[in-house]
Amino acid sequence: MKMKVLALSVLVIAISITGCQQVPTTAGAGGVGGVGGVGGNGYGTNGTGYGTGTGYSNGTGTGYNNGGYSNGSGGQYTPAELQNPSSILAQRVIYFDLDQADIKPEYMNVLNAHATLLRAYPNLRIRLEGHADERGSREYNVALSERRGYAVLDYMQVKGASTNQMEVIGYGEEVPAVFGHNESAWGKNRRVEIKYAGE
Amino acid sequence: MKTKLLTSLLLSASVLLPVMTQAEDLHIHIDSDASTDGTRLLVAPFGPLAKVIESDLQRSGRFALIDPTRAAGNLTPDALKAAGAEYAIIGSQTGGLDFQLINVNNGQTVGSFRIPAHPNQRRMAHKAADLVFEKLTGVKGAFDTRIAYVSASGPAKNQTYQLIVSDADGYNPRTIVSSRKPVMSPSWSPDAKQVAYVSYETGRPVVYVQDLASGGKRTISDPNRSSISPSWSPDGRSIAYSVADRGNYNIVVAGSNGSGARQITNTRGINAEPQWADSGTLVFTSDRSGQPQLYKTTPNGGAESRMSFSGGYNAGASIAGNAVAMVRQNGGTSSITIMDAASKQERTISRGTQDDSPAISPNGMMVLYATDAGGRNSLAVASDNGKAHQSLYSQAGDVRDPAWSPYLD
Repeated sequence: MKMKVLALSVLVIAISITGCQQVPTTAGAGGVGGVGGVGGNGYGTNGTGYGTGTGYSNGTGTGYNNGGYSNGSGGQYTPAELQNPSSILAQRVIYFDLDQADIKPEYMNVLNAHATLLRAYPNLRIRLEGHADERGSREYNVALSERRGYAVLDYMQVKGASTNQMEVIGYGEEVPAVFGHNESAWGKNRRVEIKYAGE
Repeated sequence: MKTKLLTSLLLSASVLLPVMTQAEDLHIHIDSDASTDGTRLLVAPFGPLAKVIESDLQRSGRFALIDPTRAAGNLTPDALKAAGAEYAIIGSQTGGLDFQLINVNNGQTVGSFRIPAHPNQRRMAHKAADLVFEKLTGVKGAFDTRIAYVSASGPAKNQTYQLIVSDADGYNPRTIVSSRKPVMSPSWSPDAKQVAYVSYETGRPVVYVQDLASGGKRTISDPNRSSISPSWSPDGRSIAYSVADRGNYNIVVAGSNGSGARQITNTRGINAEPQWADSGTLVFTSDRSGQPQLYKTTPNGGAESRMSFSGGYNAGASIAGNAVAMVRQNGGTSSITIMDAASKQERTISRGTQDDSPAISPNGMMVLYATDAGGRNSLAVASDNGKAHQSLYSQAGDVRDPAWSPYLD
């Protein structure tokens, strides 16, 4: 029991730190994915600790949906959930704006979830595969798409994943997700895909 | 059963043997508004190669080809003149190709030529077109050259990639690499006997060289680091390419066997797409000023200076002499621009909205590039004066990423 409390407080502290790093506009999505599961156990004693802000309510919802509650281990994801289509961990692709490598706020909860999993399971390895749309110089696009992969790597490192768990490959415009010469296709092709080793 | 055995034999052969298969000819479409100014030339219909000569000269943008039926089979200077020709090519093919270039105005023979018999008959016509081109323009012709390009076919995210070499007009294609992983960025050796390229076959981009005659392949860049955009030096001894380091890319120069790689740029950001302008000058793309622009340096690094100033996005240089072809992006569309490196004069020569990957002919007078023609990724050739345009497309799949060979021997 003591152990559990300790583990919980550590988690709560980690979560508080994470929460602090979120600017208000991103708080709802970011830093919260791992919190939801904690909610079930931790709310009563630590309510004031992390119950403030919009992050909490989102976190609860996400956590429950992803089984954090039922496994009761403090909101940790498990590798088994990678195969669960309703888990947030089933989301493996994030998209980017034209000529941009910034992580958009709506994808932060997905990356938080994967980072949480990687932190909990140091033997897991992922490839971050960066892609570009067809516009611009083909070879330059390889470098540009790799930059997107590193933006994801840097973000996930901040969220607790280790750099030696992550490898980045830039594919440029060589592997489009969809064919087409319009913004609809381009938007789906400017992406980073998260691939777990052994999948 | 028999089929199955054959299939498995073929499969194991394809694993063991270098890929050297016949690919599909590129279909050539000469745009209907082909050049009507330039030197008026009539090629007498002396055989199938006459049409090849005609087609070559047409795409240079320097000639207005006169329909030979207008001379109604009468090849006297008066009849040729009446047909509207300034010059005429009259020839015969008996094994080799014999032809004369006639100045119709004065009836004089400008030159008499003989092309020896060659197993690739179309090459005889390309050599003839080269001789006529040089005689009439003073510039060496580049029709008897080759191109390399990449073809991709199959559904999205499950494509097969082929590296193909062919004659400069798209005929006689041969697949030299076939892979389920991306293949890109071919660059010819100066003797046109080897091609450097990038393959993702190990899971990351690595530079390789393939010998065209033997199919033998060697690894040029460090297999543990992503490397892109190889370019062969004019003396054949070095290959420049760009190596990744945590999201940054810098240019290295290595021996053509991959040895002794040394880094010659050292900035944060992307430095890629090196191209040798001459033995002492490398042009490359860098985003050090924000958006990509062309810069130059030496094979030992240093003496860096920016070359492109017009337009917010210039990349992907291809160089012959002072002619620098590049991709210019402007408001979501991209086109091919040629800049004279000395005078800085520029001309946009392509007409699509997503034109990419320029490959300039060794005489600097034509540019092959990738374009989107009605939703199909195809290749196109434009003359440097912007007057002639041809598209080359394949029934088999998308074609892109062309490289133009140096002059053949």
